[in-house]
Amino acid sequence: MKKYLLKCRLLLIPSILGVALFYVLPYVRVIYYSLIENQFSRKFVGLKNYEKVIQNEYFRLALKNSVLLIVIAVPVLVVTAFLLSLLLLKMKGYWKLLRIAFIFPMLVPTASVVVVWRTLFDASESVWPVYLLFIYKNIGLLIILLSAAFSTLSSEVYEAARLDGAHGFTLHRKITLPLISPTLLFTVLIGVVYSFKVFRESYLYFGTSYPPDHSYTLQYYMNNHFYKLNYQNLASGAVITSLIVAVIVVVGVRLQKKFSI
Amino acid sequence: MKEKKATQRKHVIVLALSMLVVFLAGCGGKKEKDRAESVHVPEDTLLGYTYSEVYTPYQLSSCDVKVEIVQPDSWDFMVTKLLAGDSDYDFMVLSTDSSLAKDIMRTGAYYALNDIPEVAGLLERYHDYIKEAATAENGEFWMIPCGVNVPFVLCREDLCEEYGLDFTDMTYLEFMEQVDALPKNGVHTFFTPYGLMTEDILNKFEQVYGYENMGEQDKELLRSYMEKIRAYDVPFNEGKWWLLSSEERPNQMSDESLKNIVFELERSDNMTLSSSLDFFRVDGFRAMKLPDLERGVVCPMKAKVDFIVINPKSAKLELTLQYVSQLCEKLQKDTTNAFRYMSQGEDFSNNVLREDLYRLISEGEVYSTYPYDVVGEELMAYREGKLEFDTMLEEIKRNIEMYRKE
Repeated sequence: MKKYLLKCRLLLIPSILGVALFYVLPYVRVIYYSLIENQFSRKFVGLKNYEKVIQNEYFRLALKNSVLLIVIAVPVLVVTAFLLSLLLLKMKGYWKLLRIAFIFPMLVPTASVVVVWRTLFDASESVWPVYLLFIYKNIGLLIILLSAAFSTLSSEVYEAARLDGAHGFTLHRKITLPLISPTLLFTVLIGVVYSFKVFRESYLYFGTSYPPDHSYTLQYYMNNHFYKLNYQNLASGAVITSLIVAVIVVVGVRLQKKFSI
Repeated sequence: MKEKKATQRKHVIVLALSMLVVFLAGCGGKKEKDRAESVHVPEDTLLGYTYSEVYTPYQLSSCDVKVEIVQPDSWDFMVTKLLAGDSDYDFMVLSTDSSLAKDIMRTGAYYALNDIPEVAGLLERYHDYIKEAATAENGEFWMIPCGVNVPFVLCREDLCEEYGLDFTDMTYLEFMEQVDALPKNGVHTFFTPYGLMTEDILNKFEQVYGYENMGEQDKELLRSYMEKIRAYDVPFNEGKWWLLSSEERPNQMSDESLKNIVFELERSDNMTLSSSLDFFRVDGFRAMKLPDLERGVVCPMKAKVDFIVINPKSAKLELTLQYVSQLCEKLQKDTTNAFRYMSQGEDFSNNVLREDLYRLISEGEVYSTYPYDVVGEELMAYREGKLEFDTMLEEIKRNIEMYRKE
């Protein structure tokens, strides 16, 4: 067994090296940059950059908008994907082909979707067109993941639950949700990660680095500081963003553990 | 049991191999474009990056030290190079009108050149406002100015008189009216590059009035100019030759053709780029400042300075500094474009046009503009009729506030 484990670890070395080299090291470097005055003088300034960033009104606006996106758009995305997956599960015959329809938004280039979106909605006053765009672009992937999870559920468990008197919503709350909770957590995390990537859609939609206040997210803040050569604000913003994601992941994992069977 | 173990082993091997493939694919995933942008030069050659061909008139490559100047495909590439503190390039050639210039100075992304006597010597030969622009707040020389570029009106006094044109003490609105009224069937030509004119009008408005706290009067002034710009319906960067004759303007200008030009709106860097535009060849040309926006509000000539900034992390810093010394010495001695390099004390009395240009440049002021995303997008949207004037102004004000405070 020991030999077997050793073999496994040896074989995992290349991918661990890859992750360390391309993810961990750059992240450590970003933390380092967030603690120095600038990349040329390299004077250590402690948490001063964080202080500056947190006190900045536009960072706070960006943070608020990013959090709102996670709090509003991600749950809407996951719940809609969940309900649609359940609905698709019940589809028979040719109706099953409907699943393919939800994959189409993933295949269509974002720029083309944005052109259509711009003719359909005016996002100057409301942030909902951006939220809708985010949901439209990502719902396909979540439906695929959830449908795959549903297909693994054993009908015997449901039959047993029905015999015990569980029906309708209780059946899903007591059986479906706990059984697919790992997949559900994964879809939530994907939703959160993708919500940070909504910058691309938003940037194409507004075509400027200075969108309306409601759509100014953390990525805009970081992108604009990139062009201002302000690596310190960029790095501090990135670290804060990653901490937010980390907190969401930890909370998600704990909740999943709590609710899984 | 044995079978299960073998299957498990197979699974682990497949998993590990697929991870290795993904890892290697990631390592080897460099695109053709990336390869093209990763320039490798020999050990004895310096590498400089620029975003436009501004360096061509400055003979940057003609020193003893070999240099290769590359224009990358994207602006992002240069920003990334600066931010990453890469050591594989030695200098950048930029212009002060770009917001990047200000950011380089602010973030200290330069090698201070105070210890190189030739740099100090060259700066001494420029006008004070250029020396000031080349000096950071801490007193460090952060860039080497290569050329000063100002827009101006170039005209032949005799022909202007013939057509009743007087460019002294004129506003742009009056200037445009006069240009519109010129006959188009004579034997002479004139050139109004609307792009240059638009740029100058907007620069002047930005520097003298500003978008942020403008009063009603300033707003009306901008509105009248913006409406005029929109009425011309040409992209910001385009110019237009107007022929007063039925003949096409020849590409190669003979002395006779040059004498037929009533006036042109020009930039000092265009003056010697091509022999076809060598206005010094013939007598009778004068240069004068571009019109102001309104009477009584005089605006300095907006000077754009093309400059070199040295990479503080350059792996060939010693060779680069050697090059800097040589280049500064060369620029100081260069008399072919004396009006450009502004060798103070130069005798211009033999040519009235050179004298005019010298005077115009000496009255200049270095300017920098907001990035295109802050102001340009909205101005363009208004010009294309996509935004109302008041909405455009509100958007610009908001963008400026955001740009400054974020």
